[in-house]
Parts: sequence; structure tokens; C-alpha cells
Amino acid sequence: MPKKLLITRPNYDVATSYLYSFSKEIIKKIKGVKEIHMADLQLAKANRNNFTTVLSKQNPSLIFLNGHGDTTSVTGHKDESILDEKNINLTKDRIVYALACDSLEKLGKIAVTKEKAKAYIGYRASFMFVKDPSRTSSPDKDKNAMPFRKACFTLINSLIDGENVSKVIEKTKSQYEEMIRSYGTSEDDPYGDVPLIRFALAWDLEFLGMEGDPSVSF
Amino acid sequence: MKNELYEGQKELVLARLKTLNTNSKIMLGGDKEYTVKDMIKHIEDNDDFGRKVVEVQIKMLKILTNIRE
Repeated sequence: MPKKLLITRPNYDVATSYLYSFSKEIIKKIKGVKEIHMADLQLAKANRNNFTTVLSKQNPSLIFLNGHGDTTSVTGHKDESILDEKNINLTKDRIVYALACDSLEKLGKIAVTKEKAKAYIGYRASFMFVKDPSRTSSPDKDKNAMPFRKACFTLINSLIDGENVSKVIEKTKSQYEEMIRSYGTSEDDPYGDVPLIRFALAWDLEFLGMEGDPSVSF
Repeated sequence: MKNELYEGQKELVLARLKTLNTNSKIMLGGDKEYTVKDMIKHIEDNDDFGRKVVEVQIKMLKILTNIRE
């Protein structure tokens, strides 16, 4: 019986183009794993209707959301809310990882306390990253975004590998810390972006968290 | 005492930020961008975002200097 995963990854503005780029590596890995069945709602397919249909028909145990967020919703293509207080019941018995701003603050709590989601991983404030302005049309090649890409991959990769939620968070936070200590030198930082990159990493480290049962795994 | 500590931290963070290129930008997931200049303004205004910036900058300095909380 394969494990089932649902991923949403819109790509219609600068921020979602970076998250979409960050997701490519894990998509590539999952495609090579026979034991995992993935529903990939990408681009315009990342809408509320498809999200609901996949959850009810395929019953994935892990939901990986990439998009904009606020304290009470996470969006898909063109800012359409795909998860909010009205359909949060869909998270029951599942693990959710929202790579989006703010949603852990309220939506994550509601998912776990009211609707019995197993766990909700996300950010209690904005998810920050630093980009190279000359690379916004090709985020895959943006060196400034590299440490953020790395941390995002570590989190979802550890989840996919079956580590429990507590370990996944611990591992990602350790990586954020390690990158804050080691990232960059003046030689490879011609525009003086390293202090900001370190700050954004520290910000993401501070506000990454979870609600629910830390011992559950995918 | 707590307030004095925060004021000291705030001065330290402002001094550090003022050494950076004030037009450098940080991207927030919501497609908003903040320049260093914006961050300085939020800190000087003592608003919620500014206080969070101070808190995180201090935590970052502790990591860089290996100070465990």
C-alpha cells in the first residue's frame, strides 16, 4: 500500500515562483520512489476544487502546501484560498506542512485542536527569504535563495523519509542555525547581502514550529 | 529593567543595520518586500514588526557568538 501525499504549488508571482522552484528537488525525488503516490497540484491546478477532490478521493496522509498565507488561510493559484477555517475539517487525521506565511498562528491551532489533524507544521510569522534582484526571472539560479531552498528541502525530505515531526523540526532548525554561522564571506558577497540572508534565516528559525503530536510521521 | 535591556538591544540592532546598504531588500512570502531602511523605521516606531526584528537580530547574534539561551 503506497503512502499518499498531496502537494500544491502555484507559480504566478515572484514569491510563488521561488517556492515553486524550491519544490522541484523533492518532486524529482518522490517521482523515483515507488512506495509514494503523489498528487501534484501545480500552477493553475492548485485550486480549491482540485484540493477538495484529491483529499476526498485519494485520502493522502500528508499535505504539503506552498503558497501565500495569513493567520487563517493558505492560498493556491492567483490567491484563491484553498485551506481556511471553512474547510479545515479536511485536515482531520493528516499531517500538514504549510510553506506559507503566518498560518501556524491560528489555522494550525484550529486544524489540530478542533479538527484533529495529526500535526500542522508551518510558520507563526512571515516566511522570509532574500533574493538576488537580477535573478527573479530565474529563481533556480538565484544564489541568495540557496540557503532557504536548502532548509525547505531538508524539512519536506525528512518528512518523506518517515522521520517524526519533532525530529523533522529539530533537524531543520539545526540546519538554519548552521547556515547562520557558516553562510557566506565578503569574497562571495559583492552586494553585501550576507547580513540580510543571515537575518532572514534567523527569522525563519524563530518562527518555524508545529502544532499537534510531535511523534507522528508520514 | 526589562525595558532598559530592550532599549540597549534596540540601539545595538539599529547601529548594525545602519552599517548595511539601506536599500537591500528582504522578501516576505506574501510578496511584500522590506528594505533595511524600512526595518530601521519599524524599529524606531516601536511597532510589532520592529520589535520582532530586534528580537530575531539578538537571537542571531547569540548564535553567531555561540551564546546558548
